[in-house]
Amino acid sequence: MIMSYQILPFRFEKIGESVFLSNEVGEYLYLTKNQFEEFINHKLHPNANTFNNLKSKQIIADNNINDVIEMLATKFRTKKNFLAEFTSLHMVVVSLRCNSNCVYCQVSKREKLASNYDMTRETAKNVVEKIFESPSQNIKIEFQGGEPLLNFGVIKYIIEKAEWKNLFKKKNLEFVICTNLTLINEKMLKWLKGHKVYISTSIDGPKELHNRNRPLHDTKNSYDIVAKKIELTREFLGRDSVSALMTTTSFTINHFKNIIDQYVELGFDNIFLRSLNPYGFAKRDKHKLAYPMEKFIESYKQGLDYIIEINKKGKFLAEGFATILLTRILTPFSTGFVDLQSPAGIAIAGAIYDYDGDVYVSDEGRMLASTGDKYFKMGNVNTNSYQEIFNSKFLHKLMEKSVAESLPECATCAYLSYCGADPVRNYNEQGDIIGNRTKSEICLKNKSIIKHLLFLLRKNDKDIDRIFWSWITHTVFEV
Amino acid sequence: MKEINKKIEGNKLLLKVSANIYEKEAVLNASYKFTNKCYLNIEQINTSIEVFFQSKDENTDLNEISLEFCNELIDQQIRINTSKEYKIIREELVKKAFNTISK
Repeated sequence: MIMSYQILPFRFEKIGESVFLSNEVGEYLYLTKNQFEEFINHKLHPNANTFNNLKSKQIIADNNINDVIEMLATKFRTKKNFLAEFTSLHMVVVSLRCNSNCVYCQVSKREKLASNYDMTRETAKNVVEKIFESPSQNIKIEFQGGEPLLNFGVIKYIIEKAEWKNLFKKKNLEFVICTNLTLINEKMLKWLKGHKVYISTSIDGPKELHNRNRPLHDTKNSYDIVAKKIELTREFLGRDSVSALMTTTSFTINHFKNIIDQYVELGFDNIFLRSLNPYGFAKRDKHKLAYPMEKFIESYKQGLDYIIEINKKGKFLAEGFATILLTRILTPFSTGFVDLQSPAGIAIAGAIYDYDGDVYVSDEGRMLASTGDKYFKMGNVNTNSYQEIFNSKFLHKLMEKSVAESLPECATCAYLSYCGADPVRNYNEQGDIIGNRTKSEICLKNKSIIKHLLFLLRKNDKDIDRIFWSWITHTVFEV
Repeated sequence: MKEINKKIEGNKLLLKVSANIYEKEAVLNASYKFTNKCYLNIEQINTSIEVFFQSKDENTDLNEISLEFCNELIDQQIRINTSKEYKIIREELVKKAFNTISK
């Protein structure tokens, strides 16, 4: 008997004896193969649980279809909120000079004394002008390098200029300095305390692992200095003022437990288990530093299990990538992670201003430029207007080709609403901004980790669910 | 029991599927999924669509590929069939979602 119901937009993937279904806004459920057959052939009975489950997930509708479309449209708009916001993350490379010798340096840093790789005040002034032309109500200025503290004068100049401009613009303005922290001192911290500045640093693991990945020019023992400076920074700017990122190399891939323990010991409540980004030296020395993506995925899963166990014992520690994905899976909200947007977040969610005023669509775009390929350059703050930079034909073309909903394979992928397009990575890996998903490492990673999180959620383990929600809401999980 | 219409010779596989059942788009989408393992070519001859595979790696099991391809083809055709039903709704949903932005 054919029942009358309307099938609404959905995607699916068969997993063993089950079928995973999701819709445009990320609502999902599992059916058996038989239930799936009945569903697509309009044979579900209106009293059946399957019918009601699909209806509650807005994958079918039997009446008031217009109301359901309105509701889905509202959720879809919420998921795509970053589009209305436009560029809110503005990364500024105040210097390409660096005092570190990181084995995977992705930006091809310059020697400590090469001051011609510093941003000038004139360029910095034009950068701030461009930033404040962005329609976004939220502006985050993130200082990058090289080591940005080597040009602290220009950091201060930009912060003061931005604060002055903001007296009239009244945006939500915040600053982040991405630094190895080794050069920070009390004088700098006293100044930073008077402004809204957060610190993002790098910790790649315990002393031995960190020092192997991130030695300094002057000493191999960078770890002790960073650990001391983290505490000093917290004294001045507060406990939550410092966050850290890690990068996984072939030296550290088998040591996720030790790395996680080190983050706990250093007092962090967040760790982002991050794979190697294949740009700059990381690409050049791939034979020494890289590993198969499958290996990273395995280590990631084990690391995540370990983090969950730590949380179960009462210590709040969130895994950053999982938190972003879980927010996308379990809530209707948009997340600010540039790499997981559709259309891609490049330029329209975040852009980067290089030391010489060149503007790139993303940090990875400027990483490519540092090895000579300026494909993703949008213009220069000293010679181009905001319109020329952010409303160019080039950017329109990039956006058009980075809508995951219309990309081969992504368009039908059941995990699309949790994922996004990454044209810079495609270009870097395959020489083409659209790329072929079957050969894409980033697709393999994202899909595997999303599927793993869905697998954990499917267990209906109350502790895991509560831990995941504690990460999303940033509230401590009660044992 | 009827077998899948296929021929395997060395590292080459020829699969024939019915154009009366499967649309070209479904064959193309299913083929795309195998581009990491094989080189492919697609031709339509009357009511039959022929998909030619040449494996990139000599260890690729072409019999397994043929079975996976057939299942994938069904999934792709289901996607096309169901998307025809909700196509207008999807367009309406996106239009409504961005209506406030375009004003």
